This record gives sequence, structure tokens and C-alpha cells, in this order.
Amino acid sequence: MDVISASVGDGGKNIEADVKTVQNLLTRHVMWLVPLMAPAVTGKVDVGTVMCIRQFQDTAAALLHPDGVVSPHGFTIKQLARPMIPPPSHPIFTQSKFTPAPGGLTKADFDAAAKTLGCESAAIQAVAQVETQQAAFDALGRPTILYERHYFSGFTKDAYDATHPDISNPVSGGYGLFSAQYPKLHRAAVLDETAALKSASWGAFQIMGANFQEAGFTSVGDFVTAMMQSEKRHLDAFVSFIPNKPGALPALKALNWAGFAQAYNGDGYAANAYDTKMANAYNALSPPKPPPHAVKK
Amino acid sequence: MIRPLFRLLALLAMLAAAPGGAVAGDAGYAALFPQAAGPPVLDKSVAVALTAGQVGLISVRFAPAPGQSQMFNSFWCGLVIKSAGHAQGLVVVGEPGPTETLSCLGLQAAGMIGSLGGAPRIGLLYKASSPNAESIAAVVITLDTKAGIWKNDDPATNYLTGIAGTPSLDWMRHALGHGDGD
Repeated sequence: MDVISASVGDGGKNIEADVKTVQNLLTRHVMWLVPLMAPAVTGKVDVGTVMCIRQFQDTAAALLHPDGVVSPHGFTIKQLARPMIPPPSHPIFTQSKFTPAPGGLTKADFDAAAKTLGCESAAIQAVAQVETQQAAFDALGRPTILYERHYFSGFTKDAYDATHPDISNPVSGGYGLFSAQYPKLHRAAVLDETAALKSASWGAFQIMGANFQEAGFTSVGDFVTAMMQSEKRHLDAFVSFIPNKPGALPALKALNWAGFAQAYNGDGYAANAYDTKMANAYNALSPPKPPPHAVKK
Repeated sequence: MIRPLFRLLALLAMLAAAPGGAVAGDAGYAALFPQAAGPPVLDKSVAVALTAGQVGLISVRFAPAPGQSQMFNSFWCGLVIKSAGHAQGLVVVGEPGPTETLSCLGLQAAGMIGSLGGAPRIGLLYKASSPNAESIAAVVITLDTKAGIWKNDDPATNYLTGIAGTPSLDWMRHALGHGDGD
């Protein structure tokens, strides 16, 4: 049975019983209406009710374009009818200040990573130089992320593709501004927090949250917490991740840059010249080897 | 009917024969792209028929110069836009704006997709990559009829990033033909 029989809100049919239902449901979810107050339950649509609908659509329904109308079969009424909508709870969403450990990666960090992986320190430093051309943290101190809508679509089994195509879409792309990534992540987290955290790539090495296990963590939440802490934790995750990327570690040990870039970056590595850049970075970092001695007879 | 077709073919021939038009790393285009670290590399040339006349597009690709904003991108794409004997350089993918998170892999398609207030709009489909995936980026440029130069239509491009569907020129025409993204 439908919760309401006709549309309620800005330009809606606004049947009194339906309006009362929506006003009651908005009152149930008053925490999502802040800074507004719950609407009075009058059965009449007024400016306050429409504002509350828009606010709910923005915050609790995570809609890109709140329109102030609740349709009988739309996403807004589906959300309104839920007994409770828990807000995202990971600290990346609840903290207001972010204080990652200062300082970047040191030679000692790279030496330790190289020892763990069994490769040259200059090799892993070269990879880091190419793979981390973006900053590890943004201006607010949050780990740098890129939100991937096609991951979210997959993890949520297309449940939000029709209603939230900018954050849930089987087609990759649609990234938009760098500054739009966290708002997208937050909206996705309102719909499905775990799927959202898995659908972004994080930190200096842009490891997908979906790869949290390969990066050495038992949950995506723990992975994201580590990403919030320091660039060293980003390197640790990368060091754990490399052996789980088929073909990457042997190529890195052999300084086979095309092989490593293909394993780590995928088939598009050549178009982005990742292999050439890594080779150049390695050559700049690695001290030239002395020429072999001529063998005297 | 034949005359516009002839003009289009003539423009294509002009693009193909444009000085350095088929030469990778043509230094002749470098002056049009001061954002580039080195001479832009030719990607492809296309001619787009507008409602009135045609415009020639030469797609180039380059690494941004040090100091340019580079988030996740290794390469940017630009257009040399030729019309009425004038050549304009326009960075389309990579620099700060709706495509700033992308590394550009090349132009896939271009075509007239409509107009806004009498100003023609060209839709461009670029193959691009993020650190995690390859995708097709739909980008819109529009003619500033007063200044006579082409500009990135960021509101339209932004609008296209948020809607459903697989990017194509028809998809762009349909999406922007309803007054959206203005």
C-alpha cells in the first residue's frame, strides 16, 4: 500500500491526509532537517513544509536536485517511510578537524618499504614520485580522494542508478571538480556508507577502498582511518598492496617499468606514459653504476 | 546541399594540409598552449558543420608545464580551432574546471549539439582516465558571439557529469536540448 496517494509539496496535489502524513514523517526525521525545525502538522502545505521537504531531500535522500515535491512512488517517500536513517558514522564524515601527521615520506621510509618488498629503495621512490603527483591530503587535511560512481553502482547492485546517477552509475566517469569528490562521497555514504568508502580511491597512492584487504586491513573503515593519519600509513598500505597486484612485485624487483605500470595502472599505462616517467624518475634517483672493469688477461 | 558539403570537404582538406597539421610535436601550436610543458602532440583533426559555416578542430595532447595544477592527470587536451582564417588555442580537458581530475587520452568525436541564445555549442567526447578507470568525458564548448572566440561551457559540462546514460553526441544533444545546463 502506498504511503501517500498523490504528490505533496511545491506544486503537488497536496491532499490533506497526504500532507499530514508527510509532515509527520518529516517530524520523525527531524535530525535531518537541521537547521530547520520540524513542520507543524496541519495538513496544509506552507513555505515551511516545502523547505523541510527540500532539506530532507538534500540531506537524508542525498538528491542532487531537491525539488520540494514528495511523489507517491519516488525516492523521497521511500526514505521518509524508513523508521530511521542512520547518518554516516565514520570519522571521515563526523570529524570537523583533520590533523594528519606533518611531513612527507623520508628516505628511511622508502628504505624500510624496499626492505619489506625486496626491491631497490630508488625503485619504490620512483613509483611513488609518479603515482603521487597529487598531494596526499587536501587543504582541509583530509586524504585526497577520487570518487568512482561505477564502483558504487556495482556495490549497491544498481539500486540508486535511476535516482542518483551522478553518484551511482554503471558508466565510469562523471568526476567533476576535485572539490566535488567529498560531497559526492558523503551523499553516497548516506545511502550506503560501506559501499561509499569502498568506491573512492584514497591518499597518496590512490588505492581504491575496495582493495582494503589487499592493502592489509580487515575493514574499509580501518583502511580509511589509516588514510587519515599520515603519508607513512599511505606508503604502508601501498607496500601491502603491491604483492597482491598480480605481476607488480616481480616487475618492480626487475625494474621492468612497463610490466609494473601495466600491473599497477592497467592497460592505459602507456597512453599516460607511466612506464617512461617511472624509468626517468628511477634513473634520476639511482646513482649511476660504475662501468664494469675491463678484464685483463 | 552540395555547396555546404563541398565547403566541409574543403575544410577537411585544409586541416589535413594545415602547416604542421599532421606532424607530432609541432612547435607551431606551442604558442597557442603556454600551459604545455613541451610542443603539443597532434591527436586528430575534425571539421564540424555549424548552422552557419564550419569550424575546423585540431585536437592536441600535451603534458602540463610544471606549476600547472595537476591532480590526477598526466596529460591535457586542447583544441586548435580554425575558422575564417583565424586559429585559437583552447585547453579543453585537464586544466582547473569540470575535467580537472582527468588525464586526457584523446578526442573520440565532435559535433554540433545545438545552440544557446544563438551561440552554437559543440559537443566533444574525449577518452580519459582516472587513476582507477578509463571513461568517456563529455565536454561542451560554445562560441562567444560578441568576442568571436570559443570558450569552455563549464555549466553545460558540469550538468552532463551528473546525469544518467552513456555519453554520445546524441545523448548530449538530448540532455542539453531541454534547456538544462544553462
